[in-house]
Amino acid sequence: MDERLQEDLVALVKDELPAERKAELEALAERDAAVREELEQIRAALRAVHRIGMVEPSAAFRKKLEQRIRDSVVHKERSGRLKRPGSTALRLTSVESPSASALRAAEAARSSRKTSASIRLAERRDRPAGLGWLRYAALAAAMVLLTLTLAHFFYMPSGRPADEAPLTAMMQRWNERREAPRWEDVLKGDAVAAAKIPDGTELVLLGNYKEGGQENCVVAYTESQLEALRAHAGVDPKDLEARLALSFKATVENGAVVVPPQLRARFFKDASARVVILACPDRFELWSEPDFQRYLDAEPKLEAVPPKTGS
Amino acid sequence: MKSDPELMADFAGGDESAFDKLVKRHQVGLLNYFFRLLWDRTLAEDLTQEVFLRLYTHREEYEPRAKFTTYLYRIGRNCWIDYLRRTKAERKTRSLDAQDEEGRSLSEAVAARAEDPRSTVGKDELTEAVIEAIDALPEDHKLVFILSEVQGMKYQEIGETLGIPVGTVKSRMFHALKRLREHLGRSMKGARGPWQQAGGEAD
Repeated sequence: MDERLQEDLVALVKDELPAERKAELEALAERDAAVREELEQIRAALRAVHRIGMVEPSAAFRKKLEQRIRDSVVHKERSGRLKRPGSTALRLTSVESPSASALRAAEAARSSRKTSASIRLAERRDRPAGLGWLRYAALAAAMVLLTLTLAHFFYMPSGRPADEAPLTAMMQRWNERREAPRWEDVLKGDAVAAAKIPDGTELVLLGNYKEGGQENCVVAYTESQLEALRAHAGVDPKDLEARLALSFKATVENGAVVVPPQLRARFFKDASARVVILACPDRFELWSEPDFQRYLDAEPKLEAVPPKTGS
Repeated sequence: MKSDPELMADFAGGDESAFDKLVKRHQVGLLNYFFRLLWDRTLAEDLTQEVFLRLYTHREEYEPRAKFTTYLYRIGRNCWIDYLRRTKAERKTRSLDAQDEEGRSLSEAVAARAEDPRSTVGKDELTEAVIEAIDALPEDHKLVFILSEVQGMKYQEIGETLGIPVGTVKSRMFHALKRLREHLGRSMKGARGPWQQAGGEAD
């Protein structure tokens, strides 16, 4: 039997032939026993192959996938290579809102690099990892800014430098957090009491983390709070959704909310430490008590540093 | 129920649940694709996750003009090629006599997998012979064969997935099946023919 015919017979079994050729081969099979035998052998071989059943994913498959995605996103965020709709870090416009400010915590640290030497934040912040020559370029730019700002400060001592805005926002957040109604509890297994949030409330939990930062906490939004955030003019919707892609959903049940293990591992490393829950006007926040205390103690301050006189 | 392209559009727009749905819909198919290339479930899961990870990070690159499964398995093929490159030095052709790191032969390893209640791979001689036969296929034939037999893809779609003409798919499918039948014939020498047995026609 020639090879082309055999190839077509396989295609016939696989229903891959044009109607005309199909009819032709079916007619041939009716009158040729060898063709019928060949067809039967092909079908039988395929039946043998189908004896191997389908395997199912293991129980850990999905969790591992989620973890890999999370790791990848974090890695790409840090190296600034993330390809997604917008950056995962929120970009806010000049309109500042308390709700936006919660999501802006990580961004604020980055913005502060522009801070002039005459103004410094009392609290220490982390700096981005090595960026090669970019770091030197940024350093050079900072020196130029420093010179300009010193001159500005010297000649206009009562003025408010433009870079003060993010620092002011941080101070507003600090005040807002200090004054927000709050209650404390301990983690019971993986849950924390949320008696003041009605049962059945669905929450979207977001990690607000920056290595070495001072505002490390879990931010929780109810659906309506999230809607308000989406509607806020100062929030870039694409960036918000990108950020929310890294969020978790949780429902308040029996006066408690389950904190996902990924967030627990990052924000509540000490399982015995108390958890502080803040009821901010437009969001909830869950803090490890020692972290929250440190945050309150490190009140952000704007300090005027007079230029050196050379004495 | 939303189609794959609709879910991809939702996903690209930021709806994470759409990605979950796509994973649920395609995880078994992809896993079995890799499982038949590797006969190792852990590695197969690893590569399946790699595909979904790439889908996640390249969500914007999908164009609805292309069939979603074509796009997905094209990523799968790339992951497979990357895997082959990565493991080139350490990979060896496996045979039933070769032993794995746990000192088990391929047939024993398959039998051990069959003990996994989640696996439906059988233990019998014919099944092992089929596994060995698929494993012995040349790489390019194997890909065509698995996409056709496991994923149920049409020749056209296989061609688009692997970037080869339909005629080549047809030819590779034929040669894969021919080799498979020959291999089974040798493995099951003495029996009337393993495919016949599979069809319930054996003694």
